Amino acid sequence: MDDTKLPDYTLRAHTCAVTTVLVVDDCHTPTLVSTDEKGRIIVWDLITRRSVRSHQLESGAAITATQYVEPNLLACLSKEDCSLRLYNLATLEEIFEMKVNTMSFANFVIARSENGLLTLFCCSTTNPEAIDCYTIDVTTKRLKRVAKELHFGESIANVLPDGLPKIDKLGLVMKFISHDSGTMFIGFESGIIIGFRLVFDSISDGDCLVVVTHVSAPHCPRPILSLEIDVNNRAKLLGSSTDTIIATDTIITTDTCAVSDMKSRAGITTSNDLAFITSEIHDTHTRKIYDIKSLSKYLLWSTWTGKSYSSKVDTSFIEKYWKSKSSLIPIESSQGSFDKNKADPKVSRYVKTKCITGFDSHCYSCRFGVRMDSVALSDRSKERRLLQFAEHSWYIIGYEDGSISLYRLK
Amino acid sequence: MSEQFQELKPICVAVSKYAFLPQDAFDGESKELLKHMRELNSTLENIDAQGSDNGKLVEYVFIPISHILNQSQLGRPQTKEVLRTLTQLFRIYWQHEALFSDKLATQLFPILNYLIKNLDQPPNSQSKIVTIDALSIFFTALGNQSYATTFFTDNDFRLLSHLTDVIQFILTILLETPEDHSLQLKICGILSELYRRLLSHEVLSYVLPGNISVLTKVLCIPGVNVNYRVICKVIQLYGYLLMNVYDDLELQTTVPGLEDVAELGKQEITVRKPFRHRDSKWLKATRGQILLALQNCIPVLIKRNNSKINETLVRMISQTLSSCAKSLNNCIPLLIETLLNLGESPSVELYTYSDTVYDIARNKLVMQIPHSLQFHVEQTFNSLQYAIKTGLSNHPNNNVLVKEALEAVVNGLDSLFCSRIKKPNEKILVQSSKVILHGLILEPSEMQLLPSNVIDKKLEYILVQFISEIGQTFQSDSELAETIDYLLNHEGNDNNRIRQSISLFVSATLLHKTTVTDDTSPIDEILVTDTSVITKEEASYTILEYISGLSTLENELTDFSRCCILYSLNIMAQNLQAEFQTELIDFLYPIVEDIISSSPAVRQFATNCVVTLSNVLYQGSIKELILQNVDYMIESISQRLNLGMTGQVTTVLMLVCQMAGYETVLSFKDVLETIFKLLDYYHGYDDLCQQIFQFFEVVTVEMKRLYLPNTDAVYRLGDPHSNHSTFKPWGLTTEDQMERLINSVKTPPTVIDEDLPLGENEPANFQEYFDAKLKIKQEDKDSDDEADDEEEQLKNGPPKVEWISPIPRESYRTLIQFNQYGERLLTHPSKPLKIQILKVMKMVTSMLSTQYDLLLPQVAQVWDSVVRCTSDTDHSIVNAACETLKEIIDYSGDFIAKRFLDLWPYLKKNCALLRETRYKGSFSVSNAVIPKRNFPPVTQNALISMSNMLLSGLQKTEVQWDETDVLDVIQCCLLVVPLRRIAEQSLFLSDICWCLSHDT
Repeated sequence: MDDTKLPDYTLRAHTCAVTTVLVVDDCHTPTLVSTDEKGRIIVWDLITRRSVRSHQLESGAAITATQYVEPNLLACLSKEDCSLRLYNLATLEEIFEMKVNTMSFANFVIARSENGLLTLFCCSTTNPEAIDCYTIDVTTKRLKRVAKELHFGESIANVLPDGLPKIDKLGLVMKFISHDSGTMFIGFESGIIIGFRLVFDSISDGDCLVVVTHVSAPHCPRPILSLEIDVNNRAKLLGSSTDTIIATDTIITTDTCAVSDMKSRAGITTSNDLAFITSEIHDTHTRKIYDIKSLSKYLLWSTWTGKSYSSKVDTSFIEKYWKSKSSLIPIESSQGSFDKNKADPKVSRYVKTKCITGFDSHCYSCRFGVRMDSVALSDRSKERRLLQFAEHSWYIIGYEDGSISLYRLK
Repeated sequence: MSEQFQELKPICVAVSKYAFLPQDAFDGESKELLKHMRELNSTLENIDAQGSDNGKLVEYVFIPISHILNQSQLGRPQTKEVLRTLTQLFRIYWQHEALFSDKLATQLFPILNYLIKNLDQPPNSQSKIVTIDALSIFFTALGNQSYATTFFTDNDFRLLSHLTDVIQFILTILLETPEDHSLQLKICGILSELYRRLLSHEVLSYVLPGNISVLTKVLCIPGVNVNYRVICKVIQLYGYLLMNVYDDLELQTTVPGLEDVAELGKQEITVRKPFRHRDSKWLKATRGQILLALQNCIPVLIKRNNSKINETLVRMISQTLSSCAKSLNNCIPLLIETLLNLGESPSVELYTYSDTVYDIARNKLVMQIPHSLQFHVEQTFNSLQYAIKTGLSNHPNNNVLVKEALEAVVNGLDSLFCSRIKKPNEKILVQSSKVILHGLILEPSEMQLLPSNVIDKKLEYILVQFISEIGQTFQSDSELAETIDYLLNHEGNDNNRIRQSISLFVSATLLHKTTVTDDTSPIDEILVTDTSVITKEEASYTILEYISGLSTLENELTDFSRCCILYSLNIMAQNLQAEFQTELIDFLYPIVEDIISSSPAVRQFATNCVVTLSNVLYQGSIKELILQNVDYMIESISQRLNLGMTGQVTTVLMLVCQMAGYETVLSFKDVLETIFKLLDYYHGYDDLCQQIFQFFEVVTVEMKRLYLPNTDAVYRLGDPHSNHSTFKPWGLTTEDQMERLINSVKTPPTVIDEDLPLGENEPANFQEYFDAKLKIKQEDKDSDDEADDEEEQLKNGPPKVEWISPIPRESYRTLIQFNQYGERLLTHPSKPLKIQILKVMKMVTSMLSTQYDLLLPQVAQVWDSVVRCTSDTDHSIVNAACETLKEIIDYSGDFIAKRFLDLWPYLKKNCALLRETRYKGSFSVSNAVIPKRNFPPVTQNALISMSNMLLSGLQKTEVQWDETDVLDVIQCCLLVVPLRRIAEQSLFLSDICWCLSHDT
């Protein structure tokens, strides 16, 4: 009945819109974590297609962002109660909670820093246009703010080329992402993308230097809606905005320059030879790209309007994914209407995509080396299905109706 | 002198008088002689065989007898008596060891032969008995002597010639006296004595051809004319003859290149230790005859199907094979084939002849399979099963044979299907969904899988045994899987669903555990599983994958194919046990769907399968099986709905809904949406729409059970605290309403704009508003995705209202959708669909009333459509429509006042029911009490519903009515409702009723 692809299968347990979906990449059994608008976290076994455990936030606050930080450590951000929580994925037991600024669109990012502690990057508590950095000691449950209210605007003003549209400020922090090299990237409302690293002073405990290593403005002056590291070339950063393009920046991964070559301003250090990165542009012909996911052979994205797309890396063919609603839109107004056949214009004709992710077959096989002889005899049935599953990459879409659909990528 | 002697003396003297007469005076036919002879015999019969004086007695008696024997002629009766006397003499004396001299024996044997020949020819039964008795005791006596083994030698041809005559004589009796089995048994005894104790193997070789010939004839006597004990004895004799005359060790027979089976017939067979008679030439000449004889008699014996005979035959063959495998190697194929046919365990190891077994199995048995299937020859399968299991377990080509055999079964069944099965009847009778929902009592039972006009149940049983036994012979899981793969992916299977199904049946049966019987306890089952040689997992998954593939062709599958799939799944579940859990993802739904199939066979196989699954996975609880796997069921349903495959989907969905409750429905809102889309696309199919509305009914009931558990008439007549009068604040009826009115006046007037709540993405301040406008303006320029522009405007959710209903907004929206789709489909011509829709609408109305403000637009929308149904000529529809209208009136308060006022003129004008039933006479106050009329039940019910609806409406609108119209309505109601009940409705009505009844 739909004119687009039908899901190969659907996971159903959420009773309201799914807000995030996340594939846990270090489990032998492909595992998915999903969250919803009522604060429910569900861990799925993608082979048995069942929830293996779930957790309900007491507050019932919607979870808006999640990150699988490292083995067994899951971080969830809920906007309504302004909380960031860390969970043990194996038990979904809460191990840490802190209040963060969730006023803007921003997510957060947590990375293991040079000093071995988890470092959290999020919007500043006082100013959503700046960021704060914290170190978290999960064992002692200690939290320390290592950088406060970092404004990047002035530090990079000189680097921006003349041809850019005139912008007064960087605007709200829109997106965070971390790179394997330890570089953090932030996308701003103005369309500027900044990469920086934290250099911890080994002598004075906890003091750190913020070194900017990357500046680009592929979407300026449109806001950055999504950032993603290219799986096929991990030195590439993908970014999207309200326009139709996905921009690719090259990430410079050389070591941080000597401090003598740097100039410092407002706690932020920039190298003298910091250069503006010119982005490569890829036009997707779809506007308002809200979410991007890079897989080995595929690029997946969804738009603000609630539709999802995929394209093979080496082709320009775009596959569309959306679920249409039934034609009869229920009248939910107490005011009624004289024209019965006129649908309420405020109701969408599509079941909107709320979040996307993907299962990367290639990465999985590299990690686990899937072969039949590796299969344990104890549960052949499940292992057999695992092999069939891992043969393909999958597009995983969370919808506003609470369903999570899996589409096999061909 | 002993008493016996005294007794015998006069008789012997009397006999002697005749015996000593010269030859010319001797009358061989003298009656006197006969009389004395008889007297003598009867006296002798009384003498004990162990008497001490027996020697002298015998000597004394034998003197006259010997003289009689010297006479040239003797009458037949007298000869018989002489034989009897001799028999008695043997009995009482000569039979004992060392008492019968070689000389006497040499003299007597030819005489015996002579006497026998002197009897009636052919001998009568009496003569036969006398002769056989005499010979029997003679050979016994001979056997007891020291010279027994040397008495008959190939040096004394005179004796041998007599022996041949005697044997020929007794064999003739054996052959010709099938009715007297005791005599035959005696003859067998004589032969046995001869073979075993008196004749050397070499001498036996002289008599062998004649013996074998007659013995064969005896065995070949058709029917069951020969007693089975005789047959067994004859077979033993047969075996003894073969075993000793053709003894490999004695003859030192050599067969060069014995291992080369194909060259068997061409080998030069040699006797390396030849005897006078038995040499290589003899062997070559006779063994062909033996083969012929065996070929003649064995099939007859097998046909008798007597266990004792079979047992003896197997023993005989085993002996022959172990003693004469070389000398009689030409008979080996026949003997082996016989062993396979009999299926009894021989004492020889069958696998030592595996090449022969293979040859027979491949070239004969496998070839016979199609014929055996067609004509129900069970023997072929038993033989082949025995061959594969016993004789070929280690044969290198066993797998090839197994594959060929299984392929032959598939081919045979396929051609039978083609010739005997006509096109299946495609018409499917749709069952009432209620049947399965309420009658979920599932009893497993054995049922024939293959259609009875293809093969009968017994042959199917044999076939299943055969295939599953073959399955047990596989050495490894991978070999089994490979064979199954070969069967399933055979090129003949392409697009031939029947053949695919048969292949599936055969493959699955290979994994069938025959060792587990019904009465084994679970412990036994575990033991059986544990001792199983191979795991059969790979094979099981090969089959499961095939079933997956086959199941996707759902529309092309016949009932037989469905049964095969279910049968196979049942076996797989038994094999995989707990591991089958994951497979429920794909298979649970089709199995459950088949429980409500229109075919009884499919239903039964599905039931068996469900029972097995629940036993294997959920300790026998079918409910748990369904409840624990609702997600898999829903997913399967969703997949089918997405593909537009409706089938029994909604019925199963109803079942799931009823079992799992509305909580589950919440998680599959997407499936509900798909069902709405189905209504969009397939609204022309009344059956489908009706099923869907039945499902809506179940959902509504479950929703009510969850959110409004203890209320039947919730919020009836609206919230008692608020006043829904159209003329409010006039029309207050309670103090609470007054209190609320006063409170509402106290709150300061609100600015409308501020009161409107913010949408999800609505700007919260001017900056955001401005940004948003800017965004839209810019995006208007990029006209690359038109849909997006439209979508952009659709961001905001429904306007926020104070939610007081216990039903959450999402679910409430679902009810609205039920209602709206119902309203849309009320124009459908199908009567059952209309009634079903009205039923759902009625239920939904009461639940929608929990959020009164949102009920009213719904009422406004559906009112006209429902009212239109009241003018239908079908009274059942009118009944349902009136019930729904009454519910709407009850729950909407005076919101429907105007509409209700308009209803009556409409009914008067259009309602067929009213036209048919209305009192025709002019209505006046005096005849208000209308005589009671009898209507058919359907009309009666419709009238009652209409009256109830009208009375409910009257209560709501009372004073707004013209009194004449009220009287009109009451006149209609009085057809089925007593005046008193109308009067009880309200003060207004009771006033009118009072007027009616009191006004003269």
